[in-house]
Amino acid sequence: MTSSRNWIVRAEGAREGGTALPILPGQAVRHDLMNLSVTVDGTILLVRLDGELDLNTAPQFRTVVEETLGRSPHLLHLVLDLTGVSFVDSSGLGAILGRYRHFAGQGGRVLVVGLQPSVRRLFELSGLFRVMEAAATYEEAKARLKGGEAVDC
Amino acid sequence: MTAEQGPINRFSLSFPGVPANVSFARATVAAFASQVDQLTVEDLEDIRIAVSEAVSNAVIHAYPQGTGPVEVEAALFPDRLEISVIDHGCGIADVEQAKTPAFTTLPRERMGLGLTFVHTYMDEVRISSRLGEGTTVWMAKKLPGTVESDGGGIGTAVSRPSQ
Repeated sequence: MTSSRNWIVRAEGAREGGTALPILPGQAVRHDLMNLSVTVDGTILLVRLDGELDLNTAPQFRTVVEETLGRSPHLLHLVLDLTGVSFVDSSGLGAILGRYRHFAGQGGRVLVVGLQPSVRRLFELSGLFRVMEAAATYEEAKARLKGGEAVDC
Repeated sequence: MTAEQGPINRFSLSFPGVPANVSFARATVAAFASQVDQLTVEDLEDIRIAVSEAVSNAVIHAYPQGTGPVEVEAALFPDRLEISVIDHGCGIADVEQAKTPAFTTLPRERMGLGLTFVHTYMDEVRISSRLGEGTTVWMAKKLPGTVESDGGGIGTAVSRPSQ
């Protein structure tokens, strides 16, 4: 058993400037947009995305991260597990960059895990690797984040 | 005037310009393109991204007062696949400015890379726009193994959009 809370969240109908969406622990629902699972692991927020990150699904991703941050303001770092993401375009990159700006602005870091080749190519092309590291697994990402933190842990 | 060889296959699609239709549009074009043996998985991925960007632009920018129609047309020629994304919206005031990487009229989380990606992932791109009348993003992917002339665009007897 892990001490982290694992939420499968539903955030249907999220739109730019939309209303707040309910996120209930333990609610596991399939829906037409993107499946997102949110895990709070100490100061790390792990978001696993499953589907396609584009104009339609980016608001849902943004809303879920912002609502989780609202509930857990101590979160310092973000790890995005994109293993299940088969497609990203500039709308998706914009949403990721927006989250990066938040975490970097708080002194945190953002790591991405599990990039499929086409997604990796888009990250390279857009220069996102200049600000964001890629790791092979969540465990590796976590180890790097812990390694980068102060020794008072 | 050189007679243009007609397309081997073509389709056209019209749908409301809402975000949910962006994935529908790129999946449809990719399915159409997948009939072409010469196109690799990577080519299909390029096409998906380019269509996604062009349709997203139409959805975001064309109809600031609401939602309007977006059309996608694709035509397969022996040497190339042509795709047009058409809207009848407000038009682009300055197409050259819009093509500049990182330029965006909507800075909030828009990277301004949409048209840059279209240019990056397709072999040829033309944008025609008239204020108040709409915008057409025309793009082509050449088919590997077909005759082409470097620097002269793809194909030989190709009619282009006139604007």
